[in-house]
Amino acid sequence: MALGSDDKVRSFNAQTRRSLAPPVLDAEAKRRQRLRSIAIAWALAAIALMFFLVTIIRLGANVANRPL
Amino acid sequence: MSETQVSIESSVSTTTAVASVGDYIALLKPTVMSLAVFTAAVGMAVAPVHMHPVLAITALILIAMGAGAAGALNMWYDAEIDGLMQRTAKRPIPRGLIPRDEAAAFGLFLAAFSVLSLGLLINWVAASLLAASIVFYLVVYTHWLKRRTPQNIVIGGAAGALPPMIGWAAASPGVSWEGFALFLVIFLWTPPHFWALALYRSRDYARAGVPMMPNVYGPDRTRLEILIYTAATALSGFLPVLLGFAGYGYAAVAAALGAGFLFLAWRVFRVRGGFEADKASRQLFTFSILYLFALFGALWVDHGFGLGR
Repeated sequence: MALGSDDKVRSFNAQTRRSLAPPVLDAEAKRRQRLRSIAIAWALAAIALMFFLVTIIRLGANVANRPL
Repeated sequence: MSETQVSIESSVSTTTAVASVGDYIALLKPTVMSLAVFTAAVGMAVAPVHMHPVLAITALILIAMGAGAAGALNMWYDAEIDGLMQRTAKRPIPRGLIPRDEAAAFGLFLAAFSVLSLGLLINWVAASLLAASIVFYLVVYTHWLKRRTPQNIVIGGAAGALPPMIGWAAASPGVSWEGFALFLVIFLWTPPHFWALALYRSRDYARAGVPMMPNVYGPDRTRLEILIYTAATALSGFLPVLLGFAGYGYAAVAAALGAGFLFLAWRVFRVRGGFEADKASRQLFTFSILYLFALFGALWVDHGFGLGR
């Protein structure tokens, strides 16, 4: 049976909502996602610290050589 | 309840598989990475310039990232054949834990980040060598050679042999004969290491259509080439002594390890059938890993872990 125009709009809306709907995760998947987020946060912090430390070491005593 | 509501609710009740941190670490081939980091650390330690410990650790972290990037990009490219082989079928992409595109993005990001950071924080010679090893592993080995010629791992071995040169260059910008000698040891070690594996995994490689030496020229020719390359590896182990950057203690360890490596390669050459032949190949494969770690470890100890200068 052919769809009416209202049905087509409803069908289109339903498909759009389906494609935009976030996947529902079970407890294990949520736990893994949380651990991944924590690992990324630690990695970013470690990289920032690494750049800071290397900059300080490269500058050496020149760190203090600035107008006060 | 309308049909539309039912379809929406049913679509959101599905569960999506989420990769764990461990799956991403597996994507970086941690065993290969550890070998790259260890040999790079030894390259650094034997270089004539003492590195500040923080700079050395930073360089090693970035070399590890670069090696991991090469591993991830290799898994991205080889995902289909990995799924066909028993040894690699449990990798994160064939298991459907990490989407292929995501692995490619992860690998490219790590490659770019590691090379640029090594250049900015340490020096551009080391960064160029790291970039060369990643490109060589991905383009020359994985793309051009792996599925075309039984010499794949002979030539491709150059990528895995570069870390000591990268480590050396990180400490003392430039390349040297000493760094090249360490490169040569790993380069010559690679064929007997992988061909020992290919001997007892030949059906795996045949299923995936990878032309390893035993599949193309047969196991007997492979056994002979293993013996020749093992002899060359054992001799190259003395190069650090001949070039004057290792002492007699190291020479004694290199002699003992070389003799063990040759003995096992000889057994692989002699024992040609059944379970015993497989066992001999497995023992040679396992020993080859120990050989490289112990040889480079001896060189590290010989140099007082690089802390003496």
